[in-house]
Amino acid sequence: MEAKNIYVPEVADIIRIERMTELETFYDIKLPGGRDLGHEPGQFVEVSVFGIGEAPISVSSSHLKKGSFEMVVRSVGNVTQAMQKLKAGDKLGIRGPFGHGFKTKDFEGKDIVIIAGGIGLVPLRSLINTIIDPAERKKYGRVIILYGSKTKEEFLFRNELETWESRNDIEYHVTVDRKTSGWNGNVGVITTLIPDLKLDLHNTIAAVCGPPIMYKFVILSLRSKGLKDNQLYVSLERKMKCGVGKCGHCQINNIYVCQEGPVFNYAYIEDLKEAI
Amino acid sequence: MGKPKVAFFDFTSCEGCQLSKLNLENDLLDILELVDIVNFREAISNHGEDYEIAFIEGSISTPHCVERIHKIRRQAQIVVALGSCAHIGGINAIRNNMDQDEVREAVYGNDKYLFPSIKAQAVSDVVKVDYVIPGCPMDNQEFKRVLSALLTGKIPEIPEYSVCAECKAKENECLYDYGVVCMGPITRAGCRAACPTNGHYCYGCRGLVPDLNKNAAKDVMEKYKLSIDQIKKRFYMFNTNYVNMEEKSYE
Amino acid sequence: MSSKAIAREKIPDAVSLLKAKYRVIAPVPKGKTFVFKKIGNPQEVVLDYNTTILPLKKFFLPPDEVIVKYNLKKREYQEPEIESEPTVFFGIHNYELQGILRLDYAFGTGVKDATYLKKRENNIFIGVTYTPDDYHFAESVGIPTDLKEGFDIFLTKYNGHYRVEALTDKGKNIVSQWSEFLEDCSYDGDPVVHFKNKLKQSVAGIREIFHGAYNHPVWKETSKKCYSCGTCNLVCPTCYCFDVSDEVVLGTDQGARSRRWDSCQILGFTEVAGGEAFREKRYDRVRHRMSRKFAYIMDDRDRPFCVGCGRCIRQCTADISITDVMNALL
Repeated sequence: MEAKNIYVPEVADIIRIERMTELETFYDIKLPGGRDLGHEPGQFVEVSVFGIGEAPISVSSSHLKKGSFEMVVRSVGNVTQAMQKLKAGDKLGIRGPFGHGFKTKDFEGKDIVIIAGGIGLVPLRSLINTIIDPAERKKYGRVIILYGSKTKEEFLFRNELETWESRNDIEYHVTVDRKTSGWNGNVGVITTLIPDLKLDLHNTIAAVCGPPIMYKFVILSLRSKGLKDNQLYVSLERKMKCGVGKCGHCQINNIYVCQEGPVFNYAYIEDLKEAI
Repeated sequence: MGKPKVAFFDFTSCEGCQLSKLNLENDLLDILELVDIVNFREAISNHGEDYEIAFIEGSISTPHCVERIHKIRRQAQIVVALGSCAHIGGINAIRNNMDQDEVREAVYGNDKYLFPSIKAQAVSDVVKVDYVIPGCPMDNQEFKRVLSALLTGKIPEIPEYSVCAECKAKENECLYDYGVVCMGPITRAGCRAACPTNGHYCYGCRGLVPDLNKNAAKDVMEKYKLSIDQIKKRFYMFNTNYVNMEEKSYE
Repeated sequence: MSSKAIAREKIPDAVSLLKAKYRVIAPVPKGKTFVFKKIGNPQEVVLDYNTTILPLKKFFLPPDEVIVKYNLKKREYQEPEIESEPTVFFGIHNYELQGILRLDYAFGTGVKDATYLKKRENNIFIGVTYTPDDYHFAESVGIPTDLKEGFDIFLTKYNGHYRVEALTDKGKNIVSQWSEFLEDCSYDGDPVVHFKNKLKQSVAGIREIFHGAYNHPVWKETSKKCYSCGTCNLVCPTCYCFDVSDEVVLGTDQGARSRRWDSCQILGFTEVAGGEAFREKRYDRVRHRMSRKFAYIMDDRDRPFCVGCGRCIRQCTADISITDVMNALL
């Protein structure tokens, strides 16, 4: 097979853009001809802004959504700040999808606990929207979503949070680190939601994504609940510069996150000292 | 949208960075097509007060400097520190380790009371600085790169790695192989290793690397037969404000 | 088959002949040391050298290289042209070529990287024996001086002569063109070579050493001497990590994305946009480099990503030695 330049992005259109919070912006992206991205939930793409650079961004929509895909981006770096200034109709460069996401086939028939801290909800939403899709929902057991945010002002996908709360085939629990005016719900870190869960320990998997500090505590908590390491899935954030397992920036010990991750079965990475 | 209005201001410095900019001969006309220069003492005489980007040369070293820089900060949307003096205090800061009254007396004699001064500080010690273009003098290529980034709406990034990286990329012989102590291993790159490439050791004018291992650097310099006094001088020449050689640091 | 030899003084003639058809890259002196360079004057070529400042990787993975071009107005990305001029690499030590073979593995397996691989087309390698100095330890990593893997022609030095062995068809073709410079060779066998620098244990099983070594005191001890200048990575034949950045030429619509040699010894190497760095301590980074050489990455034949050239030791101003560190673990 003739090797080709793997670094040239494909030019895609922003078809919708929406500010979600002070820092986060939502993008709906159409590839040439409306071709599907062909991703698994939890995978990421490399996004280029002309003249600025490239950054790894999680795909936030389910692969069941046709014709375009979605991302939510927190503007903290050079590329993401430039992205925030773009408008519908502007163009981006896209490479990917890269790595491995959630293998939903393996989750069929199981109860699924989704634990999202802050923007950890962004990649997990691709999983959530896959398993709660009306045509898919019956394939899975219980769907439990735990969402933690600093304050209610930082909630993402607000309309969808309301839908999740109202659907009786989803168990949705939310907490904020800090109460602000108008909030009457739970206050406390996300781990405070775990002890009250009643789980079928033999038939449950958990998917976790959040800030680096969160994993250790959530995993401890899930283990003390009785879940085994191979029942836990984590999505890890690293500096994926090239996306193709060459540049070295995302390496955790001997593993390239962009190739083997960003979604890992916890049993697989438990012994990697630099992982969590 | 009109061209961005740009102003250049000089504080305590030799004004060499501004002169260095004038040496951009081939590019100067291009630059003038992209921005309106409203204040530039070395080059033009009309002093505009309406600007968006302020380039600051020189350190903040008198009460009057403090007043002026605050005024500039209030006006400018973007403040860029230009050259070592503005970036890190530079050569001017050598006097910070001395008795300030003695310094004034040595410079101004009996008139010392007419010239109040404070310790020479980086611009960022006094007001918020958005971006820096390090170096003594600043590097013209880097100036163009930063300006280009500002005009495309990008955050200009300066290297975090050491001068060694650029020196190795040029496949220069290492000055240490000739017994010459060089600040390259602990100095922020971006100058394309200008001094070592021309056979002179690095002075550290672009500031120290952000992740300095001072003890390791000192040990290497001692091994290459520099006395403690000489080592201090190497560090203090440009980086007085950023390293205290009197105390041992532990990693 | 009777073997052939070339007298040392005929080497420039042999190089001249190659130059007619190929770009010739060979070692030349630079001050007290040596560099690989495109040969203008064949008299410049030296075959007696310890090692060059930079390894051959600079020709295949240049220090700074455009990987994508684009136009701001047209909103288009383009592939940059990659030249792969027919090139003879002349007077190459075997650890050097082993370094290239490791890079071939890194860029040629998994996702194939054409930006690298295109430059590996049309290459001919002519090897030469060498006398190890205080730093070489190639034998300890499975590369004895008579390993000829990958070479088209191999020159073995003896008595002011080099025995000429053609190892491939491309090599035979070149040797046949050299016939007027060749004489019968009186030497067979391989020179006995003594390495002063060694690992206590040969490379087989070295990966296992790292299993219990994560908290070994040698990492902290070494990191006290290290000021993270990154030289060890840059001069390493098998370090290939890179950073990527974009630049637009001032006042134009022409943009380029480049990759530049990077170093895992620098704090920002693992830093993500939020500011978190994942190998925050200097000893984490020291351990990462050594682990990457001997445990994290192996080629398809389980060979480590260290070829024993000794550059990282030779060029470390802080006197950190990869063999000393490894020997502390063994």
